[in-house]
Amino acid sequence: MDLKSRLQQIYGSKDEDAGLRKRLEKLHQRETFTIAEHLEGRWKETASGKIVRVEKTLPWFYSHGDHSFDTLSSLSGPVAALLTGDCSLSEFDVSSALFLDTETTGLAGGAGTYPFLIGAGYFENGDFRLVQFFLPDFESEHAFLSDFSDLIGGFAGGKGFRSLVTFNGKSFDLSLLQNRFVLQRLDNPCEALVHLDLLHPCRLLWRGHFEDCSLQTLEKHVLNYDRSPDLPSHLIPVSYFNYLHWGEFGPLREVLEHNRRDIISMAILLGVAGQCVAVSEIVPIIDSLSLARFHSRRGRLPEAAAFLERSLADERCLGRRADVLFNLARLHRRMGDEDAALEVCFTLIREDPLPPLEAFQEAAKILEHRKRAFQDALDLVARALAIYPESPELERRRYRLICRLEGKKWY
Amino acid sequence: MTVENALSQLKPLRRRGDITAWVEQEPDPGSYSDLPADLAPSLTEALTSRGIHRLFCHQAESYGLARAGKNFVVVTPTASGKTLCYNLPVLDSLALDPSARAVYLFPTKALAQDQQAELEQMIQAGNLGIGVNTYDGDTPADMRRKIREHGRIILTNPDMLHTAILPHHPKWVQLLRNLRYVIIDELHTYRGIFGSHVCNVFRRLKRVAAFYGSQPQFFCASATIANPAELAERLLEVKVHPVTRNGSPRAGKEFIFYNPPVINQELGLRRSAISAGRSLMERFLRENVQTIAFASSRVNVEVLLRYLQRSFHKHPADRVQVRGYRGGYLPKTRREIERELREGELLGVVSTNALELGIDIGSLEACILVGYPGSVASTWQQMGRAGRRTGRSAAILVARNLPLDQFIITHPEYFFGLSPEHGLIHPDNLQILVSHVKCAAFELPFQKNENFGKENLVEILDFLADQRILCRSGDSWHWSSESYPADSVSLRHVADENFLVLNSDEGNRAIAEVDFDSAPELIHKDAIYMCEGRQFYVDTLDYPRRKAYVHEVKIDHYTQAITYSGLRVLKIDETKADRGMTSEYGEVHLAKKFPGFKKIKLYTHENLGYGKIDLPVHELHTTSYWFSVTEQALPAALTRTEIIYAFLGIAYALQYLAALLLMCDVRDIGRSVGDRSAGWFAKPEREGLGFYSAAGGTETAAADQLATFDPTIFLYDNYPGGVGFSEVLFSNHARLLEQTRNLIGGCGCRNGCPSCVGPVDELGKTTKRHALEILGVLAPPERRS
Ligand SMILES: [Zn+2]
Repeated sequence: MDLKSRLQQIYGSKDEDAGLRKRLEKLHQRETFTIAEHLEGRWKETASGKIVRVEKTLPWFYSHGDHSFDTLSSLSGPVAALLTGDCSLSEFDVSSALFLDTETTGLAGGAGTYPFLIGAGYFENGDFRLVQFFLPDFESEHAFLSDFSDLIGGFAGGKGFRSLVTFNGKSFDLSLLQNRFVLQRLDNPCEALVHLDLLHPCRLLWRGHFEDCSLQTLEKHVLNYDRSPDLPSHLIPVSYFNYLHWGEFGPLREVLEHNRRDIISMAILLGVAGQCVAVSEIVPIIDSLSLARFHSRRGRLPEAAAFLERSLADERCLGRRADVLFNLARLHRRMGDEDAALEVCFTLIREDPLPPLEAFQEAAKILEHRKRAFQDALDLVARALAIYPESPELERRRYRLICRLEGKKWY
Repeated sequence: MTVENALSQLKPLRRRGDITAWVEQEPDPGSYSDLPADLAPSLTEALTSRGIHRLFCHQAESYGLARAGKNFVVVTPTASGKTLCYNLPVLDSLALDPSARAVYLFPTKALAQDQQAELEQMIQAGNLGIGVNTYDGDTPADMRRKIREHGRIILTNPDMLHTAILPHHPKWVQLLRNLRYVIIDELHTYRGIFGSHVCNVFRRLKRVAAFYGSQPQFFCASATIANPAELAERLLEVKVHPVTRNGSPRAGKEFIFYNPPVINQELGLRRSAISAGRSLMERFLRENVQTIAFASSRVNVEVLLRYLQRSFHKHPADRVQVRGYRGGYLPKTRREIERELREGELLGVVSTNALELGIDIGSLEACILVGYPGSVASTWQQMGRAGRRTGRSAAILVARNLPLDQFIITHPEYFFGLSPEHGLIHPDNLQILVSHVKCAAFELPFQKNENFGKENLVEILDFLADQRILCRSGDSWHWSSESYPADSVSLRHVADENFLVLNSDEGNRAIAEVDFDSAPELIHKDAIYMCEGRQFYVDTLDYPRRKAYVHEVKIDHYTQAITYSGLRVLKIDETKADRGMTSEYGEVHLAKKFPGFKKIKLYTHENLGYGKIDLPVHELHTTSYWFSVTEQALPAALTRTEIIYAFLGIAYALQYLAALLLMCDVRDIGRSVGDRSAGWFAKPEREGLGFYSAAGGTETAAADQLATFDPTIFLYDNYPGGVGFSEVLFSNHARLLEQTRNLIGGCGCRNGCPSCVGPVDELGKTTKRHALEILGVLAPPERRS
């Protein structure tokens, strides 16, 4: 038996598709426009092959949900550094930033996953320019990557970009691009840029607000942008494979549209996130408890405390009053203001019919170690034990306090 | 002199003729070479600080080959300083060239961890500053990046190379650009299906390394097999030099072959190897000799352990502790047993072949093999567990009532002469090859002029492109699927899908693991599962979740599953016809069923009854060798039933001889007797002969199916797609039949026994005679000339 028949015996044959494919090929031959025209781009010939480049320009006032690119105008280097907690971004400047998002042949990762579309956005003369590099076939990958490299190197008269903005690019897009540059034996131009990944700051800010912290969820709720109709992400690889195998390029236009929206949303979301952390007022798109959490994580304790104080009046935080008070007490202690911390703890214990165990412990800790008011601490622990009789921590503290009161060693 | 005391007690057995071979290995002072003059000074320092002032000659020879840029395979016994053969050139080169890197491959995780400790000691002693890292499934995620970028020696296994390293090779640029050496220890384990896969993983490794401009040297170590260099060359597809002269010194050692006496002349039954092994082990333990016993299966480990624990339990004053060791035990327990053995705290251990490979348990004084392990190489490996640099040691092989054991025990020259075993791989098994072509295409696109395997690559690539798994673009083929192909290719035979055994007495604590293949037989509902000498009753087997729930019992029996299989021929590759006999090989479809189990009384092995097993049919597409004989060609005096019984007897012996020829486990081959054109299969049962149709499950075959009569014996490859056994069996057809005739004819039993045609109580008293009559026609003695 010949090899092909043996293969068919094991894996089955797809002959039924072959006829269909032939018919489709004939159909495509009759069509007069090419993939470049279909995607509203142009062919670009390079020494190593031919690729498709699609370029669009959007004015600064272009509106996207409730916002426009204008939100980025106030984003300074220090704000970018604060947002990310990364001081290498303190020189960040929107005008030299490249917003990057790729579409790939899958999520599996590894050497066999290809980015087939690199979308890049940047500001030029006040407008937002979108350049998309499309890989028309695998053979042209070298040209595809080189063209992208040229954009980074050739921007603004050779001055070049200085930073790269992505959403979850650290572990995905940039990692896959790095693979491709290695495989094509090219230098990776992204390595020279400072990287700002929005995923972690956004998670820190909006955790618990919505169903998840994906870019699409955030653009819907934070930017109030409705992208429907949209090609769902999981259909993107299939769309590309159908183009490769069948020459069917209809849905690819939607893939490019999807990618452009991602980049625009990402850019504007950066501006909005920057505004959230730069101002000291309460903003409608984020609750003050989350802002407090953000500032506290960045070591900005007075700002965090101020937001906590405000949360007490923020109706979105009403259900989490105990949480707010407890965090406030902690912050006061971290800032060295034990009296304030104690006061907040006692407020919490007084107000709440079932105060959290941590509130008792926080207060007892201060009374014991800072104030050395052992009797007060012991009284407090006794109250706590009435509510939490099972707590071994409370028992240990009670024993220790009794020893201290009696001047005995407890260890 | 305790070993001597125990051995002197064996003298009466020798006089009785039950000992078929007693070979004394003379002490050997060893053969040495000076440390190479050009060795990195820091390494010389490391060696001398560890008391190594000169090398064994095989170590020096390996070093010379390595420096000359050659690949080598070193084949010397256990504990002969084999690891230094590859560690020396690797450390030397890595110490001199700070960019050079090496990958070490071990077939199991435990071996890699053992080796890391040894390498680190050397590196520390010489202050060589070479980072050694184990990269396996347990490596924490935050360490992985560091290891990828900075690890100079990566210890891993072929499975990790296959699923984690090669598909992500751009992340391993540092390693792959500077990859000088690939070390493959326990080379002989890379045979059969596993070796066939691993050969393809090496094809991929070489391809990816070449992309980064590297062409690594390969250093291998193997147990004794006849064709180490050939196996290495087939596995690696490069020239490999054998290093076989052992220069390590050794003390005297006794090798003893023991055939337990016949206790039932009528049934031809010998005393069971387990009970003979138990009394031998008791003698050694009572003489305070640290002893390891190897049993052939997990069940036998448990049975033997139970017997031993019971005999020592009677005399608490003996204070002898014996423990079991096998794959299903949890890792923590195993580490503990290994340590107790090394430190001499544990006097006796009963193990499966899990302790056969190089896990460090120190050297013991005596070793008892309860049953022939299936290959000469494994036998030497297991026997190598006994033997110290000073002081006598002993290794005893106890034969079972099985054809292979009886063949080996009565032909000691087969064992002590040159090893006749050949490691066999079949990397171009189409299913295996194609799955790795996919993985390779994922790693790097294929170009038209590339080579990969021995089939027509372009045709395979075009086929995969038709399947839209690859995309052809000009003269290259690119991966074009969302999937990650390595994830769906297991190098081992469903190895990962272990079943957990949970004890409901202890809040469903996991007490053991059972591999996928053994699960239907060991932990079906109502089975008695034995673990660490205790008996557990299986309440439920949750097949989809791979869990068995058990509770402890104390009863007088154990269980043994009944299995049988039906075959359908899909395709014939080659046919040979001669005097009414047709031998063929080709592809078959196999359905394996587990209809029930037997309850067998402990000690007496009496059958106490039967139970039902309700499990799905196990299906397999594989290759088989078979031969059928027309009714006219068979002795006319025999009835059809007599002929079928005789064929069952012949198949029984033939399966063992085939395993011997192929250097595989008997279980790697399956046997089946039936009628190839009519599609029924025969199975001996207590009540008589049962006939089953291949398609229809457990019911008896219809009468009209029995109308045609071309009795057929199938020997099939027990792996999907086969690994080339069938073709070898087909081309050795005449020789196999002749050996079968000699084995059955030469057996000392009267009416058949488990060592020739199978147990008399299943096959009847005339089967042996009829089998010989038929073989006299099929393989007449005069044809030998
Ligand atoms: Zn016999």
